Amino acid sequence: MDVGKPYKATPKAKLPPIEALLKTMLEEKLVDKVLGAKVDKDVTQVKPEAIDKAENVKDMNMPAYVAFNFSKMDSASKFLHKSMGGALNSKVGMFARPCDMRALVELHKRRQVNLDNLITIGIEEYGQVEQKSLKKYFTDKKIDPTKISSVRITSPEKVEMVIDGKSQVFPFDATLQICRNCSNCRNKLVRNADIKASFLSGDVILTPVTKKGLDAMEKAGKLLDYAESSFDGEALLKEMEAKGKAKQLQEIAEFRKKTPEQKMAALGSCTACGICIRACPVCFCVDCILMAKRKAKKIDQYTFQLSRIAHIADTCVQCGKCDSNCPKALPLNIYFNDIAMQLEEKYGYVSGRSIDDVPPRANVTDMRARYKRH
Amino acid sequence: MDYLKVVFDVVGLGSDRITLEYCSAAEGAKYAEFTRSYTEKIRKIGPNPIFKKK
Repeated sequence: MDVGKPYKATPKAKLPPIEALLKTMLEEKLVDKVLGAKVDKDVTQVKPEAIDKAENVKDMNMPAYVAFNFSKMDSASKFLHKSMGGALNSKVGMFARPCDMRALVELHKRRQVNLDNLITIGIEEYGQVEQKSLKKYFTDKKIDPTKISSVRITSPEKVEMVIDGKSQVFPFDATLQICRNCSNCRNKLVRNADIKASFLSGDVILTPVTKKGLDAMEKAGKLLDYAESSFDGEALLKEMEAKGKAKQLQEIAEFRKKTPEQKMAALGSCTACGICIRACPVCFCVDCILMAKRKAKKIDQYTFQLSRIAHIADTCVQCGKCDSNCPKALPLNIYFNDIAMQLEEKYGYVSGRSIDDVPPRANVTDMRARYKRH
Repeated sequence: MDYLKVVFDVVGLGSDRITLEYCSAAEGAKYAEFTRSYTEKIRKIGPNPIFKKK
């Protein structure tokens, strides 16, 4: 096997490829813990869990994770940082979506996560299905979500679900769709991961990117069969990135036409509930002053939201968790996207792209010293 | 400063509401002049859009 070459992975026994990789990492003691997923009530509700014994790695229904992401406020990067100690003192194997990968890079820069202790499987995917309208879609079409055993997005236009053992194809429409933030995404390529796992075609195609990844993949050879593949996910993702960027530029152009009053008024319905802070994978201050002031009721909604935007905008990885979890449906993404776009134009800085990029707000010498100490 | 200006523009406060100017302790006249002119500028811009709404 060679670094950088795609291999089609088929399970020898029943265990699917990602699970087999995680299990091997634990068995071979490459890592102390792995991040797993478990299906909660139905496949649309996937929850993260920390696993430390190889025998506990079971079929995790990865296709459901790929299609729906972790439910509500959970994300792989947030779970690693909050519940697994950020891999600072232990080694962790995990999978991550491209936005999680960016969040990990940002957290690594701020010494909250140690990428050297991580073996990451970056997932190439079409995007996440919009959760908000999903329930309505299921009731409209009289689909019982508990009867769905598997879900797979086969192209940007349709999703395939196995209901009661029968495979059915559903085209995306106004209620069933890829969430706005994923269809606008301009950073779809998996960067900085050790292994790339492509779920774009029907098969799982693994590409070792680093030596660490290659080692893990070779050791997983007893559970998986590898066949060289010619599948090129990158071209497909680049095409999607270009489309996403065009969409986002259009959205931002419309946003910029608004008057300052309208822009401010859109934030006015904020209740300062703090869900955006709890859902954000890159919000990590232990003593959050906004949360403290919110508890003491010493902050108004504008100050709350504006402070948050000013504080986090250059770290923001555009994962869309704040936007999709907001109970008041504030259009937070557009503010972050606009700032990110301007930072890219002004400083050439894209958050989460590389661990060597220094954030525009940081002291350059300070940041360089931090990298060395890592 | 540049970063904050971007943020102020995006959220709708307007980047002309913030400024940073260096004055040494010996430059009393410059300080007074700058303060006066900036106060005038801010008066011209008028109150914050949040308060206009109410």
